[in-house]
Amino acid sequence: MRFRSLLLAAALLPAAAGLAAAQSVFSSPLGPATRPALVELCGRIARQAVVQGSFTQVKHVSRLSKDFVSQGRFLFAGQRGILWEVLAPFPSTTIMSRERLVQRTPGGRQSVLEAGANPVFRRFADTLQAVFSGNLGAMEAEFDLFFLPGQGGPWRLGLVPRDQAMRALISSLQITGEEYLREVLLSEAGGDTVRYSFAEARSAEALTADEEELFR
Amino acid sequence: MKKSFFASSCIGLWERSRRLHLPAWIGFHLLLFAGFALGGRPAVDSDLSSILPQSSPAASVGRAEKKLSAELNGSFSVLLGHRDFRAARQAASALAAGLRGHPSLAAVSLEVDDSLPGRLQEFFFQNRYRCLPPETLQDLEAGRIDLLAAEAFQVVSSPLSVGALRHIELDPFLLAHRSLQRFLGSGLAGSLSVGVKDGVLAAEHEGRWYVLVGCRLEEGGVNTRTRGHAVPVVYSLAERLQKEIPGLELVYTGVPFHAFQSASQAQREIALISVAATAILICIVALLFFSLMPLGATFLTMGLGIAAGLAASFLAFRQVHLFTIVFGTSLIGISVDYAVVFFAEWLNPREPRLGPAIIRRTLPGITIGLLSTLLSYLILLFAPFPLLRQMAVFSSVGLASTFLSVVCVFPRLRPPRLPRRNIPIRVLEALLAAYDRFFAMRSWLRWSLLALAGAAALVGLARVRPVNELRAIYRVSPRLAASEAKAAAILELGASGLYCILRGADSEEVLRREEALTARLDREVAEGRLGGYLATSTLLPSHARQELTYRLVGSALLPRAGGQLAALGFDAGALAQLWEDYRRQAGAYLESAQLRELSVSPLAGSLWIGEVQGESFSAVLLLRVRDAASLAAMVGGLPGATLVNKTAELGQTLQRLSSIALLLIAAAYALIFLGLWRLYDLPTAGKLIAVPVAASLLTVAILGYAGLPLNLFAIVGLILIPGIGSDYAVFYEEGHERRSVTMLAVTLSLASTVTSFGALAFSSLAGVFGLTVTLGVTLSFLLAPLAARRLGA
Repeated sequence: MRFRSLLLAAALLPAAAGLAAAQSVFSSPLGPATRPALVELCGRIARQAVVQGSFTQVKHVSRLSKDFVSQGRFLFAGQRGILWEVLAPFPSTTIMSRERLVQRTPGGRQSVLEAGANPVFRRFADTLQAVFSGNLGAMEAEFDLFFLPGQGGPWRLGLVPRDQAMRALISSLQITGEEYLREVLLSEAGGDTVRYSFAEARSAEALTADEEELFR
Repeated sequence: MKKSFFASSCIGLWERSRRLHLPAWIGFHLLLFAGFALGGRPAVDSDLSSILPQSSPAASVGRAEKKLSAELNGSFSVLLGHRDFRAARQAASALAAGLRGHPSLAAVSLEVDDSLPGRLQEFFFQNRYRCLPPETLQDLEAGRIDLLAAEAFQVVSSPLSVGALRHIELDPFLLAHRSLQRFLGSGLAGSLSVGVKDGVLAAEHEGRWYVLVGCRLEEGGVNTRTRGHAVPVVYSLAERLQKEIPGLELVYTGVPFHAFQSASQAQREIALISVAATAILICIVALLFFSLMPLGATFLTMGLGIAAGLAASFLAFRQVHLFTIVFGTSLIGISVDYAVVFFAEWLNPREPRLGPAIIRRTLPGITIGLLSTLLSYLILLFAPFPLLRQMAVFSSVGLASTFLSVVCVFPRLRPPRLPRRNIPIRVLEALLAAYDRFFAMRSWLRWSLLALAGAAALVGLARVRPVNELRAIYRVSPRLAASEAKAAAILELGASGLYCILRGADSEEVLRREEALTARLDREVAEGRLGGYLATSTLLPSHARQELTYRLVGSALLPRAGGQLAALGFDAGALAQLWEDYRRQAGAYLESAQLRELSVSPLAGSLWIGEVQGESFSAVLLLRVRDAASLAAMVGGLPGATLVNKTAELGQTLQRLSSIALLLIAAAYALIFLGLWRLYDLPTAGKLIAVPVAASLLTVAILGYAGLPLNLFAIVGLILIPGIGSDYAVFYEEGHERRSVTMLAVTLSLASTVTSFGALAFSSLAGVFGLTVTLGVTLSFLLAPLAARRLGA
């Protein structure tokens, strides 16, 4: 148990992610002035039932002074879950729904974690779902929020974990977006960063039958 | 006649030794109490499991099992639940603070040891050539190195891999990370459903946060009597916290809560039963004699009997189980029998009422009674069941003490004036007239009535269910049961009560056998018949497995390390360093001392049982077992492995004991019958023994009609019937010339027995036991006049 939950979080977080910007979002705590804009933004995100596209992930390992790049596609399906498929250099798949987490490794090995058997996972899944479905209340329960509304340009949302044990692993998340999410920057406590850039994002009213099958 | 010879010789002996009576009585008790006083501190055992015999076939496995359960049974947990995590956290801190420093607690844990993740990562890195998951070993054997390389890259490029990369130049395939992942998934570090939140262990369940406070009793802490126990402290702190923090919920789990419940319940019940039985007896005796002397004498005798019984039990066993005292308390009833027989003669208007005259009339009867009862208790001494042996000593010595008091001291008492209206005698004479009418019936009618009763008994006997479950001895309180169920739902430990004990000549053999077992268990897990298992060899492979791992890493993995290091951005120097590190570690085995130093969790520590009587042992805990039968078959074929199924074995053990107890009862009847045959002729002996036999059969039949199980405790109750029932029959036989006085004595002794055993029937610990004795004794009372010789018959 214990920090297993946090390592588990590591496997899930690629989906969560944040951003970079000229002005640091972390000097702008969410306040009465910016809250209405965030509420409006969350409402907009919540209305996007299905969003899919491609992503590029750049992990910077400070110990090795090296960047590791991988590419793939993603699918956020509101309340149903998240599909995260790495295509290169090593194919792997993560499918996370409220019920279970399914992971397929490059070698084709599959592991299934039932949410019912792991409340920590359930809590994490709920948090991620909160971020991607614009559930502000659930986000605030786990994170301190910072927000810079776009005013014509991209908006920026900063999240800092409230839980001390979580903060020992993740120092912050920054999310940038306009109509869709554009970038997520995850800063680890150890100094490494993971940057996700999203492209070719498009939304749909509902999942196709094939996609629906993935979350079963 | 044989009988008159016995009677005249015991009366003769009594007459000749009159001057020795008082010294003998004083000497008997003085010796017992002196022995008790010199025998060291008495200890009362309240541990539920210690009344049960060892269940395992091999004695050494049994001892290993006992060592393991002592470890597992000594810890308990409290979950503090609240909708608001901070409230639950605050309550948990207050509880932990209140419990720390309690003398019976060895450890109280709330805050998470935040150095453990780092220590584990370091442990698996240091031992990456010695300890690897079985599936990684299979990959190495099959040469799937590309796969291992790809999976390592996946970890490197995932977020939060910080710890995994700490030693990447010396572990480019992230072997340590693989071991760590497998370890974390095994549950060895604790429940998988509990995570770290704000520095404590917490789980979310149905909208509430539960914070875990774990406690571990000092060695032998389970056995501490209710005073000085940690459990009441937990309860009182909990009560205070619930007042201070509205909405706080407390969930308790662990053996100590149950041990405490049964012990405190037993103490309450002893007190209640003694008070109730004593009060009723005082009323009966006072109403009959209108004198305080018989009352005082009876109670002093009884008190002395119980004290003597206790002293003898402590002398013989040093540690006496609380249940012995609960059952022994019912001796209050039996031990007054002889006193009552004596004092009933004080109400006899037709014969001399001075002590020696009474002794001459009653001594043969009570002597035969004592001998037959002692016989049936002595047989219990051979029962393979510590509780029964303790009860046998307690009861035999208690009865002997009472007998001595009656025979040596009572004759010196001066009887009070005879009450003017002898109401009880008249009532009983009316009852006896009813028996006479039964005998005056036409014989076909009499026999038809008896046949009808016999047929009804047979139907009842056919309905008896011989069922044995732990519930027969210990009924868990609904509150505690609900608490345990809730804790199981929150923690989802999946403990099934099933585990394997592995035995070997040394630790190496035990670990090899564990590996053979876990290889099969892995298949069971893969095929969904088993949820998981906890085993020491996950962290500490055998030397053979360690050597194999080392060789495989050197032959299959390291030759491909150059490419991997280059892909990660290291130069050729890193490869040379890696090989040097590998060669340096040749022959450096991972030993159990390193594992102990790591101190993963108390549970992981308990699995390694260690050395017991020159052999080594370990335990493998099986989780969420779906098919116990297939597991049993699988384990059966492995050398040195024993599957322990506590729940099933307990039932089997109780069943086996029941069969033995039934044999003991048969033996008691045989012995009593032989004894009676020596004193009387064959038909009389047969008639006398028929009373308790018929009473026992009818009792069992009534249990059948009532739908109550014939469990071990019902059978223990039946053990008492031969003694008491034959007593009654003998009293009638001996007192046939003064039937009404005899009936008075027997009625009084029935009243006292029924009072105490009847009270026991309402207790939670020994309900069936009390009921069985009450029924058996009452039926013996009703049947005894039928067997007795009738005047003029």
